[in-house]
Amino acid sequence: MKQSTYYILLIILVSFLSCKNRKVNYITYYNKVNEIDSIYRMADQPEKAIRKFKRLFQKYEPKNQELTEEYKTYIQLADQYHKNFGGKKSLYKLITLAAPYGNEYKKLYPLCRKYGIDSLELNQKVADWKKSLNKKLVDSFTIAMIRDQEGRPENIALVSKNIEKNADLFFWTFEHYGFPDGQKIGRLGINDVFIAMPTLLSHMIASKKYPEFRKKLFEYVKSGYCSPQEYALMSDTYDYYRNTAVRYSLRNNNQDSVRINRNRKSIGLPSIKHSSKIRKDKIKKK
Amino acid sequence: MKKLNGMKRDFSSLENKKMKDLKTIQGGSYNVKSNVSVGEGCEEYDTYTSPGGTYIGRITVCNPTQSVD
Repeated sequence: MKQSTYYILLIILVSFLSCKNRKVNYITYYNKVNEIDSIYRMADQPEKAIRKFKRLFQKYEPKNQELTEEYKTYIQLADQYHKNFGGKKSLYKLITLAAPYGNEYKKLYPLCRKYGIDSLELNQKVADWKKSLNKKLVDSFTIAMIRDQEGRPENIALVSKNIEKNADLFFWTFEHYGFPDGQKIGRLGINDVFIAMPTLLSHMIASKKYPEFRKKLFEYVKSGYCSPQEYALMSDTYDYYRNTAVRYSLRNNNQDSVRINRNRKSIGLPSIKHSSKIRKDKIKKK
Repeated sequence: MKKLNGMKRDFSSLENKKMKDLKTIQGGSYNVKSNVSVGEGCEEYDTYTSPGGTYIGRITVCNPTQSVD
């Protein structure tokens, strides 16, 4: 092989490998997920959705958000339609994404078994994932969660003091480790204390540092570490308590609205109608 | 456990329907205390599917007579 050809191939390979690692805007990813989800859910074209999901996950590391569960949906659809989704390797990724949610990963037993991952291996994967968490942050956010609940609702002085302490912890964490997402700290802390991140975040609206906090959080939505749902809950809570119009209507989504749907799209949330359809489908499955 | 027989608001219609069966909340989900003041005698909770589970929504309970686990 000519030396020049060798270099060209090397450049192509390096560009390909760095494709997933480059800084991407996850709001684009979330909107693509919503678009593909509607292809499968509303337009009933599952095979087209599988192809599009596959391309999307080649470009972005999958997130498997709480509502859309896009990566799980992709794998389940691909399995159902006998399409190659990457087998064990992709299932390992899905196990890691499901691992923060308590016993949710156990629902993957049947699918994993089909592809040669038995329950022992699955449990081991989750145990390994737990070991990989940032112990210092798990400890700190366990304390933050306990502190967050102290004195609510009547002891306003204590609650306010603890909100500021927790805001400081968040900022310190942002600076040293980035956003404390489920892959860094899980959702069950020391002695299985539930670190309810959406609740913790929405309590930051009462902090003096909220404007700065909100800006920072939006950056983490863009980088894919904070989910649009968590951000919207916090933002809507703030608007709700100030009696101003909510931007995303995450809490009260009875009415479809052009303004709200536009705001939702700006952070990667599905439209009100689409969210409602996903929720209905989930309840039907149960 | 708290007797969740108070006021409910700020939920999507779907969630509201689900909340009508208040025993479901007690038996099948997990509540975390939410904001500070939602009116005298009322408390607000964030509801999750389980400890560590996914977020369901927010409920306001007035005149609670027992404690939530």
